[in-house]
Amino acid sequence: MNDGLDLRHDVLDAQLVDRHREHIGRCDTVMLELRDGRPPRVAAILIGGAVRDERIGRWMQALRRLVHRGEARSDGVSRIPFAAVQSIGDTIQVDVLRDELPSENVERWLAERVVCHIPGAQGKQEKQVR
Amino acid sequence: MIAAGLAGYAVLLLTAGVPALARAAWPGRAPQLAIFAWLALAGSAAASVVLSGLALTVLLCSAMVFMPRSLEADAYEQISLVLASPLGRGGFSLFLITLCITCFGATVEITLAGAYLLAQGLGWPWSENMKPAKDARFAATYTVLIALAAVPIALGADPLRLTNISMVVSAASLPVTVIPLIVLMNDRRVMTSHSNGWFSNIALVLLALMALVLFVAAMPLRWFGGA
Repeated sequence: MNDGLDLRHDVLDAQLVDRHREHIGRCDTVMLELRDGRPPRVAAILIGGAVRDERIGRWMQALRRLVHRGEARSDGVSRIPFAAVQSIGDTIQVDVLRDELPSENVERWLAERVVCHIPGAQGKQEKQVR
Repeated sequence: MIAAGLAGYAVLLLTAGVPALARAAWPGRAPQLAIFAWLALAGSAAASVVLSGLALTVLLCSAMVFMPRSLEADAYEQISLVLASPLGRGGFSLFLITLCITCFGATVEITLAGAYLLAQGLGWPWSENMKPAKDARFAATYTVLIALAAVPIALGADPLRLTNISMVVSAASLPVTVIPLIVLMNDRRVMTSHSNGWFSNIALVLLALMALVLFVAAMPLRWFGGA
């Protein structure tokens, strides 16, 4: 699978989808593991939080410092081990669940606290299930 | 009116969407794709001819109503005369209906475009068909945008002046959107066999030049015109 894979072109910024093909953001950073005497290995994909803000620019980082004061750098960042990658194509499918990712905190908070209170925000069937 | 017909993201949609469709939907079916792309282009060309015709009709009607009365069209309220003076009360109701439809259409179009831009750029889930609870950030974005859009008017900005400025800005944005597209569409490494030929390049350059000319022509209209 990794034959001729260009990390910058094929992985960085690519659309990521979870086990159920739901969108879970874009690949904001690729973590490499440096090993003695052997070539580096791709260790993980990072999504969201401070990592994404670094990718957007200084003004976004400044905004984060203002809004999320006193937060650890890793808060809201999803670290997905590269071994969880199932396929790389137009999107990258990873074997995780959207509901378990820290980078989806804002989405969950908005859905539960704000959007769900608006009439018609949820399907009828879903309401019965919950 | 001309600037509105040349909205930058319409060009983005037509040119940028096609290669993505190619990879996703019909791998290895370039001929069908080319036909589809040309049908889409022909459709949009026909639509723009119809729209230009409509725009011209509105322009002529306005001239026929305003010129004999030696009125300068310098406020939105005066547009109602275009329909109300030949058609009476019924014309005024018709004007109110058209105002509602066009304002609603423009609001939906621009707020959704903003939400798409953020959602696709940052990889959020997005769809008009999903329940908002499933794509909360997308739904929240277009909701907040509607509220933000009301701020300038609430602060007392002149709607006509605001419209003129936004039209000029959208004409100015077109060359800016087209130039990176030309570079991208000619990159064989990215586009492989779908990269642009000489015909598409000339069409894109002409489009960019036309927008530039319109922008330059629109600047004096904006500064010395009705508003």
